[in-house]
Amino acid sequence: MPRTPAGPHPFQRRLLKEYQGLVKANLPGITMVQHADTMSEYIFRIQVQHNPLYPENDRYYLSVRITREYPVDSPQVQFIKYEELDDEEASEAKIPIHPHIYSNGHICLNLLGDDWTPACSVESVLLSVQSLLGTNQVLERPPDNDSYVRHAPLNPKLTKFTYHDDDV
Amino acid sequence: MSDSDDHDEDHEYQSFEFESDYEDEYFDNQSENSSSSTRSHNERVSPSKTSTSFNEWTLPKFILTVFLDKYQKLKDSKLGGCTDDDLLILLHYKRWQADEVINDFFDNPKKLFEQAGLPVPPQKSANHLKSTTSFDCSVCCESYKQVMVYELSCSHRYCLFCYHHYIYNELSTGKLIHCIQPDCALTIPHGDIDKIFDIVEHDSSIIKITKPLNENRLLVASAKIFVDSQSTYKWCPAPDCKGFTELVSSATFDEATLDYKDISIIPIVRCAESHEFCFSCNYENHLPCPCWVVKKWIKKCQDDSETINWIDANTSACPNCLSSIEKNGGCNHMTCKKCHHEFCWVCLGNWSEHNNSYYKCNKFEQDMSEIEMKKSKSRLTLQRYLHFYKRFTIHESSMQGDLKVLKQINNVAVMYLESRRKDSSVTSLAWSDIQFLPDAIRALSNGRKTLKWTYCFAYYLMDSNFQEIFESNQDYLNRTVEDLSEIFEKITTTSTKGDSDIVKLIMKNKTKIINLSNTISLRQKTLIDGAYHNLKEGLMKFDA
Repeated sequence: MPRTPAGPHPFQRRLLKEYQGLVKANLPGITMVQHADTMSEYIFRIQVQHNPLYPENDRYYLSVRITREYPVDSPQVQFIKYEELDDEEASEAKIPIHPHIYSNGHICLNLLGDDWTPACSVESVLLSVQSLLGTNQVLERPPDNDSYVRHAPLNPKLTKFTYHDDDV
Repeated sequence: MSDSDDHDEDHEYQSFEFESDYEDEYFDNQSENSSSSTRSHNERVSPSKTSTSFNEWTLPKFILTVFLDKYQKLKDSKLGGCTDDDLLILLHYKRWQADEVINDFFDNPKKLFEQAGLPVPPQKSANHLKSTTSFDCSVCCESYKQVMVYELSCSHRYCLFCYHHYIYNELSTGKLIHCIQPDCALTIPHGDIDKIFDIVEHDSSIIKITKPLNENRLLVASAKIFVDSQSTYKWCPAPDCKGFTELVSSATFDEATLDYKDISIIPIVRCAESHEFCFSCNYENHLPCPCWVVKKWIKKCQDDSETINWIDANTSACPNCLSSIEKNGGCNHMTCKKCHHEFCWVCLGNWSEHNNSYYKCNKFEQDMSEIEMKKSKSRLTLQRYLHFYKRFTIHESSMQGDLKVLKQINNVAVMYLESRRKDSSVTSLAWSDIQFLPDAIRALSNGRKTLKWTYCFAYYLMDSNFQEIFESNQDYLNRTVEDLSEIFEKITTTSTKGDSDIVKLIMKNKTKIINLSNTISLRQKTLIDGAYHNLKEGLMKFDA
C-alpha cells in the first residue's frame, strides 16, 4: 500500500468524526487531556471505577497514536508516565500493575492485535482498556515482564504478542 | 527439451485453458503437470552418492497439490448443503485436513459452520457485491452518492474501498478473513476476495478474467505462510526466484559438528526454476566446500576485501606491534598509538637512532631482517588470500555475464530456427534442435559456480600432495569453461552483424558446444567426487 508520509491522513473524515465523537462522548472515568491538531495523537487520563485494586483517585495516562494505516490497522496504544502541570497527583502518574500490562506501558490486548477490524475505534479501545483494569483480580506484572521490557521495541505494535488467556 | 522450459510451457497452457472454468479441468491436468516436473535428481551437481531427496515447488503447483487436492476430494464426497465456497472455507479453517472436515461435519455440522464463519444451514450464504446509491460508510465516514458495497449474510455493509484496504492488510496472516464488524464472525469466501481486488485495482470497464483458483490471493498468502513456518520448506535464495523446495530426506545434518569431512551429506537441492542451492546454509550450490568453510569465507570476504587493498597500499605496519598505521601528517617521526613505539616512517627504524633529522631519513642499510621477515610473512598471507579472492570474484562476475548471454541466446535460438525452416534440405525441425544452446549455457554457469567455490576450498586446504591433484582438476575444468565461454562470446558479438552469419557460426560450432558442455559437466563431477573421496579418506584436510 502506498505510504505517503506528508499530507492529510487518507481517512481524514473518519478522524474528524472520531474526534468530534470523543469530545462529545463524556465517557465516565476517561478524560482527553491532550490532542494534536492533526487529530492523530491523543493522551487520555483513565480512572478505574469499582475495582478495589486500583484506588479511584489513581490516574493513568494512555497515549493513542493514529498511524497512517488507521483504521485498517490498529492505533499505537500504550500507558505513559505523564506529568500534568496543574495536576496534584502528577507525581503519582505511573503504569498500572496488571498481568497484561508491561512496566514500560505496553499492553497485551487482543483488540489491538488480531481482533482489530476497521470498524473498531479509539473509543472502543479506551473502553476495552478501562475494562481490562476494571475486571482485574490480581495485582501483578506479566510473568515475562523483565525479559520483555529489556528487549521490547519502542513501538508496541512491533511486538507479536501471544494472547495467553482471554479470561483476565 | 529441458524440464524447466517444459514446465513454463505447461504453465502458459494452463492459464490459457482454465481462464473460463478453472475448477474441474485443473484436476484432470494435475497428474500430467506433476509428472512433467518430476525429474531424476541425479542431474544435480553433487557427489555421486548423496542421500538428499527433495521436491521442487512453485506456489500455484503447491496450492494445487496440497490445498486444492483435498478440495476436490471433498467435492466428490458431496457433503450435503455445502456450496463450493463453503467447502473451501471449511477446509481452510481445518488447515486442509479433509478428514477433520468430514468428521466434524457428520458430528456437529452446526458447530463446524459457526466456527468457520459460515451461516448455519439451512440458512444459505447470501453475499452481495453491488452498486448502491447514497451510502454512508461507517469505516471511512465518507458519504457516497454512488458506490460499490460488499456485505455478507449478516448484512453489515461497507464500501468496497474499505473492504479492499482491510483485506489487503489481513492477507498477510494467511488466515480466513471475516466481516469488518468486530463481533461478526462470518467469513469472506476466497472468490469474493479476488473479485473485490479486481474491481478496486483495475478499471471496471476492462473485461475481467477470473484468476484460476490456485492463484487466489488468500490461498497464495496462506501457502506463503505455510512455507515460511515449516522447517522442511525453503524459498530459493536466487534473486527474484519464486520457487521453493521441500526437503524430503537428507543425512542427519548437525551444524554443531563443524569438522565433518563428508561433503556428500550437504543437502544440495534445486528449485522449480533450476537454481541449485544448499538447504542447510541457504546459499547457492557451494560444492566442493562444506557449509562451515563457506560461512568462514564469506565472513572473511566481507571483513577484508573492501578495505584490505586500501590498507595494503596506504598503511604501514608498526615495526614493533605490527598494527596498521596510516600517516596523515607531514612528519616522519611516528609514534604508534597502540604500543607507543617511536619510529621513522621512511626506514621503519627506531627513532632514537635518528638524532635530529626530522624530515629526512638518511639512514641506510639497517639490519632489519627480523622486521622484514615478519612483514613479508604477513604480506604473503595477504597475497595468498588476494590470489584466491580475485579468482573467486572473477568467476562470480563472469557468471553474471553468462546470464546476460543466456538472455541473448534465446533470441539467437529463434533466429536459428527460422533460418533452418527456410532451408529446404531440412525436413523435420523441432525445438530440441536448438535446446543444446540453453543447456550449454546452464552447464557453463554451473561449471563456473563450482570453479568459483574451488578457490574458497583451496584457500582453506592444508598443503598436501593431493592438493596438486585437486589443482589439476581445477585447471582442467577452468580450461573447458573458458573455451566454451569464448565460443559464446563470439556468437553474441556476431549477433550484431546479421542473421546468416550467426546461424553459420552456430552450425559450425554445434558439435563443439555440445562436446564442451558435456566435458564441463564431466570434469565438474570428477572434481567434486575427487574432493569428496579425498576428504573422506583424510587425504585432504582443511586448515581451520
